[in-house]
Amino acid sequence: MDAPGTWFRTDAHRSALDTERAGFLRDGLMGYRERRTAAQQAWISWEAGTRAAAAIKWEAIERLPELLESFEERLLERGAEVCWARDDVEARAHVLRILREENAKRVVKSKTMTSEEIGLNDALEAGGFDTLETDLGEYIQQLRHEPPFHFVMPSMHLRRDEVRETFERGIPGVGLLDTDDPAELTLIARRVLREAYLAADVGISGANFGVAETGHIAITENEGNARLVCALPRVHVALMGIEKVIPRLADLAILQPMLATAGTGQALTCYNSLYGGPRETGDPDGPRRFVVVLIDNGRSRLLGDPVMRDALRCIRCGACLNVCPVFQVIGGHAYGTTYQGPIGSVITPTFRGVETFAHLAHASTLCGACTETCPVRIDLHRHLLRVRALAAQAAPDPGLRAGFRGFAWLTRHPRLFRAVGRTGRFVLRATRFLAGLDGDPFARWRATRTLEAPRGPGFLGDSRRSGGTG
Amino acid sequence: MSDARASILAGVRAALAVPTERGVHADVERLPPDARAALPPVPADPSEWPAIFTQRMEALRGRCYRVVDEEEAAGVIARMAHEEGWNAVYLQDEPTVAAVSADLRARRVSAGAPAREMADCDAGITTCRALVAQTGSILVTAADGGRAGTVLAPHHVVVARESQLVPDLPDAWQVASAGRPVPSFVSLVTGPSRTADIERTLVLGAHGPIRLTVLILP
Ligand code: SF4
Repeated sequence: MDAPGTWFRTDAHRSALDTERAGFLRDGLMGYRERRTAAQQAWISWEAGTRAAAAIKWEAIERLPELLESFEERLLERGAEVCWARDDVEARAHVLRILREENAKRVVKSKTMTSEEIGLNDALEAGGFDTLETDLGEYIQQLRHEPPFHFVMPSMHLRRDEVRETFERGIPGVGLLDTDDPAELTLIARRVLREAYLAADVGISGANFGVAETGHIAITENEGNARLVCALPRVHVALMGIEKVIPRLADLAILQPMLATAGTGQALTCYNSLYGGPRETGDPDGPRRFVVVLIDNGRSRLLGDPVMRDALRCIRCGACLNVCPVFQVIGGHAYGTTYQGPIGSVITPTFRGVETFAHLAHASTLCGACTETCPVRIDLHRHLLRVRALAAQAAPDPGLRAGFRGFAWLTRHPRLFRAVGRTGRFVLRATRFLAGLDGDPFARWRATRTLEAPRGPGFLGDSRRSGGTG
Repeated sequence: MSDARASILAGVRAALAVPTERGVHADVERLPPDARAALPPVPADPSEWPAIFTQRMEALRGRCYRVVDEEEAAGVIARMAHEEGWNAVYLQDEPTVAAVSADLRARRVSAGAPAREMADCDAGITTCRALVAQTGSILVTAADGGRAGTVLAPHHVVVARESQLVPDLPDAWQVASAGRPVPSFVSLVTGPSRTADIERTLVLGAHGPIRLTVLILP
């Protein structure tokens, strides 16, 4: 198998050439921006909100051990079970053990990126469990045997006719559909999944927050699928990264509208639900067994980084992807990671190894749009630079190093520098007529960009004429 | 597996022992955050809250009626039952719900019924804990028909009291945590269930209710 860095380059290149898809993506993201701007303008002060949200998450990180302990204690008091997993292997083992203890056959899942992170679906399939994703976007991706394209909007890259084809091929018994209408397609999924909730033994969810004060997990969603996953099956297993714990219930008053506004441009997501343990005496329904699996899987390593630890404040709103010019061109699949876009490029190298994933840090123009949009004020573009530095330390590139040395030497020799510049400009002009033809020496560059020969005198020439000191 | 617990907590403690590089997080204050200085404004006068709630909720395609008494509420419910042809309806076991649904001719499904029977209902009628003017949200807990009663039927009807209106989200969570321990299930419901997963086109009734109606009693 090729290294991720290699297939990243080919995949990103292929996506960049798919201008039709890029246009479709751009339109979708444009709609997001309009809604987000409107939602943000309704706030008295969005800026004050980001400060408050960042302060809460920062406090949570600094008090992490204590908060995790109290979160666990509250959950146990509520009759829940808590399991701890150092990595993906341990996390999968916990889930499989619970399913076997329960003699479970059918599993319904609501959206959880932690599950993608630990590769749970493959393990469930291998274990012979009948598993269905219930979030519409995740369901579509599951039918396509394709990972999510975007960790908030998993199927945003698909046109309606592609969704129709996916349903025709993937859902037994639907046959050929005579409609592309999103409402009709949604209704089909609703019917199939309704049956699934009713028949399922175990529901698996993620968690957006874990409230240390009360022992609840908080789940934010629009569709209501998570509510059914957490209500109907007799067992509920929630997967939660350890950085999701927050101190107080009252903190949700700012974090949830922040997540909605930054994530989808809503004032508040449709359902913001809290689950604390199995059904209590007096409750008419709810699972009999409730398990929270707390997962580290690289998070404490990131916490140990004195600069990038603030990336643990991330509330996974996806805003940094939505504004990223690189994401818009290469799309989510090229990253090959659970978390795409700027935040993914910052955390994945620490989570999964800088040697293997350092190339992600170069998937950025360092424009800073991600940092500006982030509701919890993570220094994303600065961290992307840091990942580059860490990568250079971990795997020095002698060629690149020599190249820069050479350039530095050249700049110290103005006459030679000018000569090289002149030659370069001449070559560019002289080969202009080759653009698009065989034998164009710059074909690879021109495949996705234009190439103009610089006009007028070079930088040195200019500065001299304007009296600069060169 | 308590190995994992000890080793994760030890790892986290060791990681935190590394001091944060100075200057990196200078912009994050350690002050207690004041949500109200940031969140969308709500007038202080409680008499304005019902109108704001109604407007926000209807903008999300919910319906809201202010009724003078239970009889009028029963009338609104009977009309909806007729228009939508309710065959079966889920009823929370609660006096106000009983009063407003007394004349319904649909089959009644009550709390504790098998989920499949609940899933076949055309509507569900429940109470709530609070209405939030700021976002047009409805706060429900396990006491309002359980985890499923407020999400399973295609039409969720909420009977509320005007006194349950709170201005904003901080107050809503205050209500939720008023009774200790906080219930095993709490949900802030903001409009009917929705999705935009196919071409970002808004579709109501993804998995939960397609219609959401609130009746506000004095
Ligand atoms: S890094 Fe910030 S913008 Fe990106 S997903 Fe996380 S919270 Fe949202």
